[in-house]
Parts: sequence; structure tokens; C-alpha cells
Amino acid sequence: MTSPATVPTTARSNPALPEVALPEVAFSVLDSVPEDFNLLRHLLTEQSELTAVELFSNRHVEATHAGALYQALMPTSALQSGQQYAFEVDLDACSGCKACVVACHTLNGLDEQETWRKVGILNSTAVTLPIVQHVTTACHHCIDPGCLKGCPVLAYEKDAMTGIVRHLDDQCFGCKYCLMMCPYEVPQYNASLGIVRKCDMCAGRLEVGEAPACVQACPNSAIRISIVSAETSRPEDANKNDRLLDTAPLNRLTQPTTRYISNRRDIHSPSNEIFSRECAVDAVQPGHLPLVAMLVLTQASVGVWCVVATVLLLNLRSASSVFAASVFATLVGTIGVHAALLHLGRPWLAFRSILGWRRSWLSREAIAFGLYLSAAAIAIACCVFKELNSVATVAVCGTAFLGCLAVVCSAMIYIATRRELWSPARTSLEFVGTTLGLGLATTSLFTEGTAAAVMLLCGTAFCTSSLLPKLIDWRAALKPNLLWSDFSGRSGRLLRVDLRNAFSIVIGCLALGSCLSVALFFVSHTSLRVSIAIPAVVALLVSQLFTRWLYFASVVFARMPGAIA
Amino acid sequence: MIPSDVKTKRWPLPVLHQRTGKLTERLNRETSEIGLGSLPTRKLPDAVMKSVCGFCSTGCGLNIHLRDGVAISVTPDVEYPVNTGMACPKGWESLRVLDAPDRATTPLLRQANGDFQAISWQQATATFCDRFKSIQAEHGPESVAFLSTGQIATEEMFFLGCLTKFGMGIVHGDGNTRQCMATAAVAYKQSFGFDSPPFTYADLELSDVLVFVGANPCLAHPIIWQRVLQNRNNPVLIVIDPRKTETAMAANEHVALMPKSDLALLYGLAHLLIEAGAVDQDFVKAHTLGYEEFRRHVSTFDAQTVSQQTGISVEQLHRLVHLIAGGKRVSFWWTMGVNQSYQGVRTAQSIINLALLTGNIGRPGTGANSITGQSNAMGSRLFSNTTNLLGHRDFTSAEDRQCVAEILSIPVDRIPTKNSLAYDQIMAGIESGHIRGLWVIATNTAHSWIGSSRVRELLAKLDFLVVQDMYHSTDTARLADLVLPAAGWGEKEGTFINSERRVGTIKRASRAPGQALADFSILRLLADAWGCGELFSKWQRPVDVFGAMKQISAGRACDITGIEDYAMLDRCGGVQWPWTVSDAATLGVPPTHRRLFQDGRFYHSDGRARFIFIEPKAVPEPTCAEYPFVLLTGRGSVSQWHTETRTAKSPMLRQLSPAPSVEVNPSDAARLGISYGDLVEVVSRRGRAEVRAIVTSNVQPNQLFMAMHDLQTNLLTLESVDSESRQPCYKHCAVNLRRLKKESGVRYGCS
Repeated sequence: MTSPATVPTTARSNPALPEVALPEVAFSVLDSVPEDFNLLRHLLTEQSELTAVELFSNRHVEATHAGALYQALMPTSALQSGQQYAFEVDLDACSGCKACVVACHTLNGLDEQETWRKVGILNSTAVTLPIVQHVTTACHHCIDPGCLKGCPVLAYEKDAMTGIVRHLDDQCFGCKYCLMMCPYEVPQYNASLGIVRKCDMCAGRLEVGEAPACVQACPNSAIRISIVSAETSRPEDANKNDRLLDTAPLNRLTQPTTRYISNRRDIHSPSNEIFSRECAVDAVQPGHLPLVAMLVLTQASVGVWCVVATVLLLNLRSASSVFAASVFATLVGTIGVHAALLHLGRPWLAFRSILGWRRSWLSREAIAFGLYLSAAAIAIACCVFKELNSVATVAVCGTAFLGCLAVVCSAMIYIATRRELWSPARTSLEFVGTTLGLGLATTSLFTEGTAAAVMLLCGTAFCTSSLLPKLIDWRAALKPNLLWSDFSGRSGRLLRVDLRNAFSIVIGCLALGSCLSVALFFVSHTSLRVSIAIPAVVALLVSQLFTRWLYFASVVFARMPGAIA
Repeated sequence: MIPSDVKTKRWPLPVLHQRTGKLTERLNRETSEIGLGSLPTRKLPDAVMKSVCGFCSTGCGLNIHLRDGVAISVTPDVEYPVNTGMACPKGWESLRVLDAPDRATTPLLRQANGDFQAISWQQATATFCDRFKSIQAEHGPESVAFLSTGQIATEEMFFLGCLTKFGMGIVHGDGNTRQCMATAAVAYKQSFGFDSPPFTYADLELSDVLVFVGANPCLAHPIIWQRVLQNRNNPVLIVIDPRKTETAMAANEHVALMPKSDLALLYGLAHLLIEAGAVDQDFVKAHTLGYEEFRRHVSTFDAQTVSQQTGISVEQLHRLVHLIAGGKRVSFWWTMGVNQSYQGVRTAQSIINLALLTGNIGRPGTGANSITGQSNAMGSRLFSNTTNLLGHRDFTSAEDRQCVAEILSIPVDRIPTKNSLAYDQIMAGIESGHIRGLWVIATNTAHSWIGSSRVRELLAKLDFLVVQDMYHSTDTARLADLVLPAAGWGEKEGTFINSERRVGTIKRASRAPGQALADFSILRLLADAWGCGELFSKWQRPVDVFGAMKQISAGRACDITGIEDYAMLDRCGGVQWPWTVSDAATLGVPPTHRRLFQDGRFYHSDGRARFIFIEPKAVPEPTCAEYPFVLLTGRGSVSQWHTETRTAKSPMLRQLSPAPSVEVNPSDAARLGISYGDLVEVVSRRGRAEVRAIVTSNVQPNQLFMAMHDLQTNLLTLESVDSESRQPCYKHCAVNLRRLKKESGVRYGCS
């Protein structure tokens, strides 16, 4: 668009043309036009002027909005206690026009590609039952919102009156944990702002009696605002396996309030013949590199402290002799904890992360790692000062204990999402494997003799055990006719195709680590031992980094139709 | 927005729990004082301008929000009778598509090395005239042709048609409306005596039986579908379509016939209706011609035969007849599934025949109704001066030529005495070397014309190709010798005519980039440079041409002499033609909804509609062992428009449209080892396409479906046209399908 500037009326007047002033035309446009090309000068000038509003319509100040149209889609009674607002979608009326999506984008002034409503599609493979069902979906303003439970900075609130789950944009520090905690993937990360934003059911509009943007904009009146109560919306005796729609996440995770209504028998087919794109094709998920570094390094650090504590408890060594390992572990742990800052959209607000300690495992993790590193400093001091050697064992054990607590918190962060591939068993196997594996392997560097070789070998074994879940998935992919609900098999398919290289690197590193740790038994020369042990530990570290990356990148879970934009 | 009296501290103390602030304020909404409800504070308008939408022929009214006189946002117009406050995503994003880095901002001339160079308008118009004049001088006036569009204002089409044919001596010019509406136009003209869609959108709400043939309004015309859902008569919905579309999902009867067996089906229905005694004898006797012959013709289409030919069960045929015969107000609606066929005119007429037979025409909730494609296809049909002389007149009629010459005050010998070649014949003319210069305006031939792999070779063969478009990046503009930068919808003024014959206005609410000019202005420059500016010196602004349009329409079926000016169009929410001076005198304000033929008088001189029919022909390219699949094409997404020239510029619309894909039945997929999301190859005798497979039973076995928005689709299609309308048959060709790589469909559609 040209920048407005005033141009002096230098065009020679042509009697055939009406006299026009030349306002608001960039110099560049007219300057390039020869003075004797009058018609062009005139036309370019005309093009730069806009249709005068008053020429066409003097009613422009009275433009009306759709108020009267959508009154029938709004609640008719006031909210009683225990009730809340909810979206209600008439699937029979949803024809997939996606006006709701764009209206949400426009009427809420969202960023270029941002919209809080999405439309997914359900198809069928049943030859006798062809269906194409569009599904409009937004925030479900859950009774037990995952986003709110997970948020470490208390940036989510569930309005006591309306039940609307609101996000406090200025409180958010961009940890994106709500993206994992919401089974419907509703919160969206806005990279340019460094925060998450989400649907607020147009709370401001509802306050003044207007319908939310999507409700206003649906040509088919398919979306309405209804009043629900926890009991009627998601009764306790409901089937534990209920879902909003076939292939959607389980209701019991967060108790969504949206109701999808349809008289079409087809779309409630209990068979596996209904599918959405979300369950037919899997994409590699974000690998979260800062989190990978954070998890692996802190776990290695805690692992070392655990080994050191064991050594001290069993009186195998003196406190001062474990000094080097302890310092190294603390250093690694400190780096790990700070790597997490790179994950944040607004890292300078990291101090807020402890606010949610009552309900968020992420807050608890932050506190636990803080305590752990403090304890580590005390424990190191005890090892340094001979006078304190007597309490060193206690301090070291305390540090190891706090470290373990922190690792448990780390695990709970992902377990709390209740994704099947992040189950307690799988997550524990991975995290414990890394903690003990890298702990033993790292400590072996500070140990001599056969003990070092034994430690390294055990470390390799534990590191290998952390790959077990992914090996299971790798195998599961071989099953013929994978069902959409076979997340392990679908994850395995990702491992075999898109993530093949990463998976191979893990296997290679583990193999290298194993060979080197066995070799260590047969070598006695010190410098040669070092040149075997260090590569072995590095190989194990790399294997664990990639394993953790796969933990994120290869995760597959039940997704709401429309989750893939 | 921070209040000015609050001084921000340089080093504020950290806030533990911050409920509001700059980020929260970014999303603040305020009730606008001009009655539009709550709007984002950052985009609060101070005035609103009304305009009809520039994409499809539904012709929705939009509010263009202005701040300081410049467009900042668009919302649907609540008061406009077409859409009553609703719009589809394309309409909502109308402004966003104007802002693109590949907008043409200066004329571009192809250099010897093949690169484009920016040139001045003066050079551009001089080059245009020099090259086309020298081609005409060497090869005759007929060696230069133009291809126009259904996307520009009627005034611009009118001017273009006059400038080319009366000013430049060009004889051959056609529009991209050939690809969408030619069939309906010819069918109406032959049956009713004038190209006259009889309906008004209110009919959708008044019917008790609605029959959709080859139409998927849910995706193609969402706001028309809105009107169907507003029907309070609990109507019966019959959808005739090989695919289970969104519209078919909502139907009481989905008639999943074999592709292109529609003519047999419709004749069969006529026969069964006659047998069932459902003929409105009084109406047929009083207002039609040819019923007896028609009855005899369809008598061979008994249920058993039709069932065999169409794949529809005899039971369902009888159910359909029962429903249509039982309906008091039956309306028939068709669009591209019918129009884009090698025997489309007769198929459309077989629908018209059903309406005539049962007397379902001229009454509320009835009609044989063609839903138009482009925003101004109707304007093109009446006023583009391409197939027909202005106002649906005949170039070959001396009387008509004289009439037009008098109205426009031009010498009658300036008017060509022969008809223009149709689009396909112009393409053939390029191939044979008879046509050597081509001027393409606001259409994307290289993508949209059928069998497009050949099209690109043909365009490259031209001595001189001029493309006038908003973007220099269209597939056709990239082949051009000269690109003329045009302003688009929202940057210029004029009128559009929608499906229900409603004339509405468009406005200039946004500044065109660089030196881009409204097509109207470009035509003025070219007229001047060509040396025929004098002929059109009266037409300084679109409204001047609108005056000429009114004069041209006087006494014709499409009479719009009663429309005062653009302001009246805005005031009345658009005006449907005909609206004559005498209508205005007797009725004053035009009623919002008017339909044709209420008196049973049609436009043929005897006032009677005709029954027109033919023996169904075999498909031009039957499937075979090598190409065992029928390829169906059509709209694949509500958020993309045709070749995506404009809609792909909107990040929002891009996000809402699926990746290029082919729909394949699960049984075929299983046989070929294809899973959902697999990369597959679709091959025809003419080309190949690489797309992702969507495995779904919405398409029947041995059929595939691809969206027309993908450039690859028309590489496959077969150039075959309806002999009456010369409209191409996009909906049927033989292809093969195979899986391309051993990878599964990961990484599909997600970053």
C-alpha cells in the first residue's frame, strides 16, 4: 500500500477530464508518470481515492449486528449455583463451512493464523455406511480443566459464576504445559508473544448479552450456549469410556461440558470404521529440546548423588573422596535445571513457576529441584570441611532423597497428562533407567579398578532399560490392521518411518556403550581406561538424550477431530 | 493502552500474579458505537461501507469496516436479504487476500532473456497496441482474441466487450463463465426463450420438497445451504450425486447414481411421474410445447432399464417419484454436476422438464433453478458482449446490431456480424495458428481450463499473451508477455449480479498497491492508446456504463431501467431483474423477493416453455483395464475459491483447506495396498498427479474424487465439451491409481 503524501497539482488540466485534487498519492506513483500523460495521472489519482461513504449510504452509522438472529441460541434463564455455560453443537446442522473458525479469528482480533475454533471431520471406511461429518470444536470449558490443574503460574481461572475457563495472558510465562494437559489441545502457543492464548467463550460478549463470535457466525445455527450442571453434564455413573465423539479423548480426563447432538445413527457407530484424520495419520510431535536436556541432565545428576549416597551408606568410601563426583553432579544438575528456561516463552518470569504448588506437578518439580540443588551445596560443603564429615552422609543422603523426589515430580508432570504412552509404568521405566544408568556411568568416571567397570556395565544396562517402552512400540507396529486406539503401534509406525534415524542412533549408542563397558574389564592402563570410559559415558548420554526426545516426538494419543489445523 | 498518567517504573518490582496488562489488552473487545456489537478494540471502525462479496454467485452482503476511510475489517451484513448476517470464510477474509507480496504493482514486460521487467503504463499500453495491431495487420482482425471472467464488475465486462468488439475489431472473446454457467444459460434460453433463472432465494425456505442435482451447497454455497436449513416446512431433501457429500448426508434420499447416468435417471423419473399421474395437465396444456413428443421419448425409460443404467434400485426410483409427486411446492436445484457435462444442456433441460411436467414453476417454493458459480457470472451472461450481443442479443441479427448501435451511438458497422468462437474453439484456434494474440482478464486459464497440460503448451505458442490480473504469480500470468496490474474487489466500484438475478454494488474501500488500476481504468487507458477513446468518451466512471446497461436492457427480459442508481441498490438490499421503469412507477420500492413466470408466460414469442430432450450418449472416455477408475472433480473445500489465485493469499483460508488429495473407496484402497495419507499417483492418458490418499466410503468403488483447486487435477481431465453450450465436462474421465512410495502417511498436514 502506498504511503499517503500530498502531491502538488502540477498536472496540466485537460478540459475533457473533471478537475480533481491530488490528495494522498505517493510521490513514487505519480512522479514516474510523464506530465503529458494526463489520463493516467487522473486514473491513478482516482484509484487512490476511496468510495465516499456518504455517496452510497447515509446509514453507515446505523449498521446493525446480528443480535436478533442469535437470541434463540442463547440461554434463556439465569445460571443457578452448580451450573455453568457450555457450548452445544448440533452436528446435523454443522455442514463444515468453517465460518465459526474465521469469525472467531476476526471478531476476536487474533493473530494471523490464530483461531480458537477448529473444524474436524469424521469419515468412515464402512462400505455400507459412508459418512462425512464435520465437527466444530473449541474449548470445552471443562468441569475439571486439565490446563488449570497443570498451570504452574496460576494463569488459568474457572469463573465461579459462568464456569468459563479463562487464561490470564499477562500471568502466563509460556511453559506450554497446558498444551500437554489439555486432552483436546485447546490452548495454543503464540510464539511471537511468548504466551499461550485460548477461547474464553467470548465472556465479554456474554456479559453484555451478545453471543460468542462462533455462535453469531454459524449460518446453520449449529452452535448454541446452553446451561449445564456437573451432574447432568457428566454424571458420575456415566460409562468410564465415554467420549464426546468417536475417536475423541476420554471424557473422564477433564469432564468437558460441550454437548454434541445428532440424530444421525451413523456417526455413533461403535465400530472402528469411523475415523478422523487425527487418528488416521500421525505426525511427529514437538521434541522439546530444552526439556530433553533438562530431564536427562537433572536425572544424571540425581543418579550420581544416589550412587554417592549408597557408597557412603555402605561405608565403601570416605565423604571427602566423593567430593569430585558430587561437584560434577551438582554442576550438571544446575545446567539441566537452567536448560528448562530455554523452554519458556518469557523466561524472566520463571520465578512465578512455584505459585501452583498446590496442584501443579510442574511447580512441585521446580521447588523440588530448588531444594535439591540447595541440599547439594550443603552436602558438598560437608564433604569439604573435615569437621563436618560426620554429618556428610546425612547431607548426601538428603540430597539424593530430594533429587529422587524431584525426578518423581518430573515423571508426574507427564504421567498427569494421562496419555497412554506416558503411563506411570512407561515413564518410570524411562526416568529411573536414565537416572540410575547415567548416575552409575558418570560415577564410574570417578572410580578406579573393577568397580568402575562394574558400575559402567550396570549403567549401560539401566540406560538400555529406558528404551524398553519404545522397543515395545517398535514391535507393536508390525500388527496388521492397526486400530486407531492402538497408540503403541501407531507410535511404532512413527519410529519406523519418520523417526527411524533417531531410533537408530539410540540403538547405536547403547551398543557402543555396551562394547566399551565390557572392554573396560580387560584394560588396566589408566590413560587407556579414560579413553574408553569417557566415550562410553558420552555414548550413553547421547542415547538417553535421544530416548527422551523420542519420548516426546513419538507420542501418540487420542485426539479431537480438528486438532490438526 | 496504558493511561498516560501512570508512569511506568524503569525497574518495576516483579509481580507475582498479574491479572491484566498489555498482553490482556491486546484482546480487549469494545462495543462499537456504530451498532456492530463487540469488536476488537484494536480494530474498532468509525464507519461502515456496504458491498456484495466478490467470490461466489450467492452474492452475500458484507459490511466493510472503515477507520479514517480505509478498510480494516469485514463482517457479514445483517440487513442484506441474501445472507442475513452470515458469510462463509472466503467472505470473512475478503480484505486479507488483497494484501500479498505477489500483487502486480506495475506493468511487467517479458524480456528477451525470459525475465519480467517493470515498465511504465505508457510503455505497457503502447506495447499492447503495437503488438496486437501488428498481429491483426499480419493475420487479420480475427487473429487476436480475449478471455474474460465472471469475477469483474458488470460495468467492466460491458466496457471490455464494447472496447474489444466495437473498438479494436476483435471478433472472438469468451469468458471463464463458459466453464461454469454456459450450460445453464443455453438450457434456459432454449427452454424458456431467455437465460432466466426463475427463482429467488426465499424459494429455498418455501419448498416442501427440494431436489439437488449435482450440487453440494454445503461446501460450494454455504449461505444457500443456510436458507435450506431455515425452511420451516420440514422439507424432504433429495440429493442426486455419485458421492456422499455433506449435502447428501443431510438428505432424506441420497441418490448415489453412477457418474453421468443423470440424464437416464431424470428421464426415468419423468416417465414414472407421468405413469403415476403426477402431470399438471392444465399447466402443461396452457404453457408448454412438446409434451406429447417428450412423453413418447421417455416412455422407454422404465424403472428396470433406468435402474440398470444408473445403479439406483427400482424401490428408490419409486420412492423418489412418490416424494416428487406428493410435493406441493417442489423445487429443483442444480449446479456444476449438471453443467460440466458433455450432455449438460439436455440434462439441465431434463430437470426443467420435470418442473414443467409437474407444474412446479412460477409459484413460491418451486422452480428449475440453476445456482450460479462466480460472483458475476450472471452479469457476464447478460452484458459481457461475448457469446451474445449486449443484453442477450444476437450478433447475427441486423436488427439487434442496429438497436445496439443506436443506443450506444456507435457506427453499426463497428459491430461484428458473426458470433464469437467459444473458449474451446479459441484454444483450438491457437493450436491451428489462427489465433496468435490473446488477452486474458481476471482468469487463470493455465490452471482452470480442462486438460491443462495442453493448455500451457498452447499459451506458450502465442505470439503475444497479455494477462490482466491482481497478481503476477498466477499460472497464466507466468506465461504472459505482458502483465497489466489490476485492482481487485474492494479496490474498485461497480455492480455484480447474483444467482437470483440480484444486482448489488461493490465499493472502493482499500487502496490498490503501486500503479495497479481498476480494470475499468485499464480499459480507458487502452481505448485511448488504441485510438478509439472517442467512441467511449462518455464512459468516465463505472456508473456511466451502468447507465448504458440500463438503456441496453430496456424492453428485454433483463430490463433494469427502473433502478435509479447505485445508492438505490444499497438502499433496497440489491434489486432483482427485471425492474422496469413501469414496475418502479406502479410498485415504487422493489419487493425483496421476486420470482419469474408467475403468470405462466415464458419468453418464447408464443409464451410457451419447451420440452427439449435427446437420447443419452455414452461417456466420451469409458474406463478400461488400463484406466479403471472414473475421476470425479469438484469443490474440495469451502475455504478455497477455484484456482486459489486470491484465497491462497489468506493464511487463515490456507490453514482451513486440506492438502491436495484424492478420495478413494476402502475396497479399492485395500486392493491396491493404499492406506489413508499414503502418497499416490493418479494417471490419465493426458497427465499425472501426486497426491495423498483419503480412504473413505464417500466415494463409490471404482471412482475417485479430486478437488479442482489443485493445479494437478486438470492435468488429468479430458477436453470434451457439450455440443450445445460448449461447456467442458470436468466430471468424468478415466484414470488409474497406484501407491507411490512405501512410506505411510506421516507428516501429513501438520508441522
